Amino acid sequence: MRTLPAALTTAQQSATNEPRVAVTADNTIAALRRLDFVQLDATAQTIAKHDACVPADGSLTRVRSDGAGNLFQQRVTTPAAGPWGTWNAFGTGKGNVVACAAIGTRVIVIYTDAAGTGVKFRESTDYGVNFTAEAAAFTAGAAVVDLSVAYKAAGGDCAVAYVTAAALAICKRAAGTWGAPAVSAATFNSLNGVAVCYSTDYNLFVTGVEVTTLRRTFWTNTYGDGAAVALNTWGNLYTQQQAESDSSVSYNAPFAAYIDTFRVTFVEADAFTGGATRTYRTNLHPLAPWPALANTYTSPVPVNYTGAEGLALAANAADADYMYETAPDRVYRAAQSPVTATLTADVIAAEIRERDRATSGYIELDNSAGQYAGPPSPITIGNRLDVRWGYYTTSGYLTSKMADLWIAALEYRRTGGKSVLRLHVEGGWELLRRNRQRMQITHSATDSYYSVLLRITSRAGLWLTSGGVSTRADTVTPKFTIPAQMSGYEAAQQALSFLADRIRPATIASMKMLEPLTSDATTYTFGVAHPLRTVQLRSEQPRAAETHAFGVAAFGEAIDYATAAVAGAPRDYMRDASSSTGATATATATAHLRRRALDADAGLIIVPPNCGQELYDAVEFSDGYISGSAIKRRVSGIDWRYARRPVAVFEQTLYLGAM
Amino acid sequence: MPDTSTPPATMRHGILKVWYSGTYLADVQLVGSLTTWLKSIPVARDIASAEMTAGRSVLVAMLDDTNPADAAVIAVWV
Repeated sequence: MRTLPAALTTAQQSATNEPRVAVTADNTIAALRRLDFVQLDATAQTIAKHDACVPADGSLTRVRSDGAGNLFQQRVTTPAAGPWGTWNAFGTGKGNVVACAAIGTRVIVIYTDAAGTGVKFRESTDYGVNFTAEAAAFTAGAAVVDLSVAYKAAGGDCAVAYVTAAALAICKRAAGTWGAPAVSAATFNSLNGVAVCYSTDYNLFVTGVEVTTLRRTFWTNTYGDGAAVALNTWGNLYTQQQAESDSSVSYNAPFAAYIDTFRVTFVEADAFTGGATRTYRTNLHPLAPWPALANTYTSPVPVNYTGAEGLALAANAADADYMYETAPDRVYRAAQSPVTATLTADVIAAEIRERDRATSGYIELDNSAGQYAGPPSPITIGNRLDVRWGYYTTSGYLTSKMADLWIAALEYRRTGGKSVLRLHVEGGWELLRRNRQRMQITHSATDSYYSVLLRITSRAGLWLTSGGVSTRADTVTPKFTIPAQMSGYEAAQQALSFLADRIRPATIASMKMLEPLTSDATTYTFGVAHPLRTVQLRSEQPRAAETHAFGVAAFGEAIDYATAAVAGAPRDYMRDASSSTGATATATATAHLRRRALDADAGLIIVPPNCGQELYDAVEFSDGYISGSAIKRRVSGIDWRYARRPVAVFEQTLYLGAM
Repeated sequence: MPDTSTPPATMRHGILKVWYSGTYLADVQLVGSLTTWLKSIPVARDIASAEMTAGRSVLVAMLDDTNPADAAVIAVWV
């Protein structure tokens, strides 16, 4: 249960206090600020290596190669107006790779000589107006295929990440002096793209072909700066996207920016009949720590741009102004600023249903003055709603924020002279239902059930946290493959069927996983201080009396003998490919039997809302007509209801389950 | 409805990518998967080896969607 201020607890236990349903909409999809890109330029140019950056004055610097040894640079001070057609010659007789970065007043442009091994740079300390003459940075061990640069600090410390035909390397500049390149020990069949940005380490995004398997792959990696990875040390390589060697699919042109989180673009080129070359966007959940594990970036979202060298990302991290996606022939821009709208004064009804693996409901807004015609930003499908339930208290209005909701549909209702905008809402499980895997994901033998579930939720834009998961969830490493097109919901269901744990949505687009235990302490008591309006207490058989797990040449079972003695008690069976001993198969059967016991329906109670109530809380109530002692049950579902008219309603139905 | 036990088997349409006649295993691209294949799926022994030509359609019975080793190619056509 969410912790409540004492004044709110007191208020919700009084039948006479004024209810409060506070609703705010904001431009956030899952956990990510929504960026609505607007095209500023589409002037045709040769598509070759390119990059873009934004220094502190808000100007946009673009650099590009023409693929024939000529480099061009452009600085636009007022991007809303351009001009975009004017490029400055920046070098001739050079290599065909180029990149840039900015921080504060500095802009650096990195490129190679004609041989491809001599890495050169020119730098500006006046926002890209004037640049130094060309200077040597370092010499690569082989011709550079792609490179990327990121500043660490306004003083000029930075690093250039680059790939040669089959090696990944990075070279840092500290206090104005370039060091020697550090080559990763990781081996590759071939490499074609790299992007680097700096958060607390150097964060790398790499595309190429995996050694041995020859799978086309998009990886993440880290070069440590002493945060998540030790200083000047390479981190692990993690696969984020992968295609078979004979799939005719390849990845290239990664770009990355660390703004509110790691935002990344890359190109997927499909050479099979009917395939297309297209840029995709992906990101890491803002709560996810770096280094992100394999398959934790969100399922890629297609962008309507088909250039072979992708879209560079540029934004001034210190200024929540605009973010740019650029290519030689394209400039898109989106405001980064949060857009929020407080809807509380117009909320006339709300009904939210929280269930095991489902959230639904609606918020109705008074539209009697047509104030929601349009509707106004940020009220639109996909955006987040912050919904808080509370009362007027001795400390004023106090509320408790429920799990994040998102707008699933909009419905204007005009009847009897009334005008209402109904916002249909959904929760985290519904995001998982829509998240279908673009590729088959085979989990490694070291991934626990919790780790598998964390990645399933992460790809849907949700972050899984532990609220006390079972030892089994944390330690058993199943054979688990998620086929292409399977939804995150189905995959999570499959994994959870082997555990007694439950997952409930939470705030900041997160999900909390916990193991309900019979020994769980009561979180709240009804019927004494807190009024109890209705009780329907139900007792029924557990949903299974026996569970059988069939492993690999192993069998395990769990039996509830008391239930099994009752005629008709059902038996569940499970195929358990992860178990090869009787003991592990028995553990699977035991976990499933516990899971099914929790499914038993124990009735419901109707109360004035307990504003902090959450799914799977243990609650208690007393009713002498039912039992001489306190009755303790687990919350298996919550209905929240609020209406101003025709009859004022403010109540909560708690669906109960077994402890 | 809460989950009960092992989900029912599913049938999936696939494209045969690689045939390993010695072990009677096959790599199969499930329709809907553009980038990754199921590797080394057992093939019903009543299917003649000569019929297993790359590019043909196959029917894959998946006893457990999350464990490709628990699947079998049970028909081939076209």
